[in-house]
Amino acid sequence: MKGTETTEGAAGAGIRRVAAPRGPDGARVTRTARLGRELAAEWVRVSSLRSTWWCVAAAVVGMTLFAAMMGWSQLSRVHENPIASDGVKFAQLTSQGYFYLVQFTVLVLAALVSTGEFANRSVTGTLVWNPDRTTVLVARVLVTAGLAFCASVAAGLVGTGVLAALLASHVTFPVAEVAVTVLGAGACMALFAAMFVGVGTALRGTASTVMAGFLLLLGLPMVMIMSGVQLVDDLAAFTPGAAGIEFYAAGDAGFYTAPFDGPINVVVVAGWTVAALLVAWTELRLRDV
Amino acid sequence: MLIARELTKRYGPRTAVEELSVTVAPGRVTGFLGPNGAGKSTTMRMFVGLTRPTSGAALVNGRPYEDLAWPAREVGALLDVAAAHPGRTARAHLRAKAHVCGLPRNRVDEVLAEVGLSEVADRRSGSYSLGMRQRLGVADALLADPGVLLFDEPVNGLDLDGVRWMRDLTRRLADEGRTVLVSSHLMSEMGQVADHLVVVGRGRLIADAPISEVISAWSRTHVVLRSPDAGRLRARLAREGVRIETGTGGDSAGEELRVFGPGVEEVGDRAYEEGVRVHGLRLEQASLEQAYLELTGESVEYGARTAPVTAVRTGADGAGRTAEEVES
Repeated sequence: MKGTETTEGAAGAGIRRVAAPRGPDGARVTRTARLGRELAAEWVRVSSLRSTWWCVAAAVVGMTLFAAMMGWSQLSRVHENPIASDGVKFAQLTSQGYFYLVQFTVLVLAALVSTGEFANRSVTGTLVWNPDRTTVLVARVLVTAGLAFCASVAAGLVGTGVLAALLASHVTFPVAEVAVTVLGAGACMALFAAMFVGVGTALRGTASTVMAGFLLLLGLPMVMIMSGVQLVDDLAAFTPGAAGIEFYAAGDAGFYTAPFDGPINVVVVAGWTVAALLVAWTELRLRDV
Repeated sequence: MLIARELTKRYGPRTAVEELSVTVAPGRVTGFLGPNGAGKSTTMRMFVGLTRPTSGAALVNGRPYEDLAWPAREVGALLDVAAAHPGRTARAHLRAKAHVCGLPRNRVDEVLAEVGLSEVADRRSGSYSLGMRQRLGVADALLADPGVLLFDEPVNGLDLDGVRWMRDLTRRLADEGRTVLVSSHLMSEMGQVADHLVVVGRGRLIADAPISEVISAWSRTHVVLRSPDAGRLRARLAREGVRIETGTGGDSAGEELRVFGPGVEEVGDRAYEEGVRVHGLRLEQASLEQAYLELTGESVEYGARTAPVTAVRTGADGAGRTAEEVES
């Protein structure tokens, strides 16, 4: 490390000459090493914004309130008619919490992470620091998807905990079934996060990304299901929102039945994600900022 | 070292930078001068890979920026005062860059102290004044102690203290042997800090020379003489082949002659020899601002310029002003 010397600035403030430690100049830097550093930087970028934690809090609090409301409703039914306890479905209720609330917090999180820098021009700093735009995008996707997974699983655990607390004395809590739903939803939310980081990177606008996400996750499949046309109804299963809930609800969403069950649904979501990221990758590499 | 080789950038039918070839050497402050829309920012952004050239090459230490092993260690850039997210603290902003550059965390504290932001480092940068944000941009640029620095309009919006701080910093960085490219449309600022000038207009290179050469080559130092008998002196000087421009003195003093070539003493002697009454005699010194105005006269985009371009006096504050401004 170089030495330190001090000169007196004209404005009265001392300007200290502090040299940064130098790395091996010209040393070959592997993409893996670059990705590791970019992941650390991206985590600092994401975790240092309040909006990130507002999104995480919204997911957890939203799921908690949803679970409390649904649990209270189910509890009232069971009190009125004890036989109704057979119809209490923890996994289904949890999956609906993800569908109606949590997935939109993930959408907003991904939209803010991917478009915020374009809105306030701080993207110039990010891309000057690391001109390898592929690693910038990969790091952003991994960090956002990882955070979305953790937040979604946490929301699911809290939500099912609330349901269990309200209903456990009347209904056996199906631990394995709920665990599959929570982990499946976490994986699906991670894919959604990656997808909307891609959409946001391509569109570069928060409002347009949120609007596109709302349409893909809820608006479009709902309208298609309501159409009454069998073909259109079946095609709704190929939208990410409908395919997602079919996956993490294990075919028992409670309001919609896709024409097919199983892994095909998560493959559909993954397909949307890959497509969005390919567009984003191409756009980010080719378009000036 | 920065090298632009026939660098061209087109946006549809509009050419922002056209076949710009220039070398920015280390150890001196190179001023990048031009009116708004001249292509200065576009050129700087091409050096760091934010904007892709349509043709030509922008090289940093002989290689395209994205091919450098440690790009952010070799180049520090202050291109946009908004380069830090307003919702992020200065410390977090610099910590993120420290990760990218593989620097230890204490380097962030060092550079925050260097720019005088230690006490506000944990405040979100959106609450900073323009001067503080500019200092954060400088901290960002200096974090990895790079050998090449790009400052795009660094004194825009700064108060006097900020301008002087930036000026001293720029000087010091060049004196340390770094390559320093500073863009500005402020002539007086360039005159204070730059050793070498690259002047562009409408994306084209107009001048690439030491600042003293730019001034002497394009400026019009001349003698101004006011006299009610100016006609006689004009005829005498014309016979000697001296170039003269004529104006009105603006009062009863009669005509004003602008004499190019001879010094004040020679013009005074000629007047004495011709028996011409002299009501005013002065030397109009050339300045960088005048040279700039003449250089870029045809290159101003989306603007109108007060005509005619006249000589400049150097005021007591050192700032160049046009003769009209002084007299008004």
